[in-house]
Amino acid sequence: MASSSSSSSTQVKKITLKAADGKHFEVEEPVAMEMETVKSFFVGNEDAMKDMVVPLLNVSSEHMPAILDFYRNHSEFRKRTPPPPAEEVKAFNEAFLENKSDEQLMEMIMAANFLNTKELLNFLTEAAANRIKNKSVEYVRAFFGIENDFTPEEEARIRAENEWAFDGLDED
Amino acid sequence: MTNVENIPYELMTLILLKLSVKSLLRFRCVCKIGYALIKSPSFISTHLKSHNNEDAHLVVHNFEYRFIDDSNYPFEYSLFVDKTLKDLSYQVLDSQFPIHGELNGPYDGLFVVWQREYDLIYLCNIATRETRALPKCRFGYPHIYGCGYDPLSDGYKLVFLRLFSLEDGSNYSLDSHVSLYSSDNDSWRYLQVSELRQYFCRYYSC
Repeated sequence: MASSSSSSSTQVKKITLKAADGKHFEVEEPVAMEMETVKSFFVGNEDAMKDMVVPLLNVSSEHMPAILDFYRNHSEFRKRTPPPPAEEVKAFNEAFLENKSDEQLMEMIMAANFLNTKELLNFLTEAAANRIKNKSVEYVRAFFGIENDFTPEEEARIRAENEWAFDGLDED
Repeated sequence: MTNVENIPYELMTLILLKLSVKSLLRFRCVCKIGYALIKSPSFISTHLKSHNNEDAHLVVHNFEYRFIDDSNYPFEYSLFVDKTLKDLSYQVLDSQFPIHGELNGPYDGLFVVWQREYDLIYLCNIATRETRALPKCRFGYPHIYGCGYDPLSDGYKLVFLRLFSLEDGSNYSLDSHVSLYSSDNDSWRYLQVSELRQYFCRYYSC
């Protein structure tokens, strides 16, 4: 995990999160509170904060470090004055997605949905859309793991309705 | 690759909402559920709302009088390629507008094109490249009109307001007609709204 560079004399409160496979992650409170699911766990239950372990049943420990890294960096981007240059944010985002398979991306989308964090979910769904936007119908079926349930005649008819939408696609 | 059972429908919808209309028209072929989703009014209206601002472009309508040769189109539609207008090059949109006329809009994604010389009105959706000629309106040119999406009927409505002056001997009065076009049944309805006379009088006096 990336270490917090803003460590000062004041002790930052930590919250322990437990991934689906039982692995524990100690996370600084403000970072943990980026996740609505974690936040709602503590609402009206302030006393429980110190030692309670928050179970995250739908998030695999494989993705936890990357997800936490995203929250740390993006919350820092939001707070910084003047705001960071667009290239810096873009560079972080591109590095974040590098070497992530389609399957890993989908798993992280589901994790972001479970953690109820709009910013991450928005970012990841945008990334998934970018991977398929100029692709063929066959590629998209494979991407989502969808079986074609149209007859060849039905499919040909729908294609014919908007022939122009099939021009200028990327190679699969 | 990924397994469909793992991807909830709602998350697939979130991904599809980020795509362009061109991609969505193509992906209607993916499967029956996808087809129904992409065609559904709620998806279309959410998609329109989420893309409305970020995809803002300026459509320019050029009007040129060319009396020399009737075969020349006096109209041209174009789109500035660079949103910030630092680069003033533009893309001619005429392939997306098969007809030419007075352009208004967009109203919830649709343009209204009016060919006054033939009294013909078209609704054009540039994104899907669909154009529909409207049936003729009984009352001809409106003085004011508006257009928009009606979620109740899941279609577009076009409202025409027209003012008539009535002369009866020395008495002079105004009458008004409202014509309402609905895209779901592709027809006009005609209403007489007497209160509108008041409105028109004020409208013309200011």
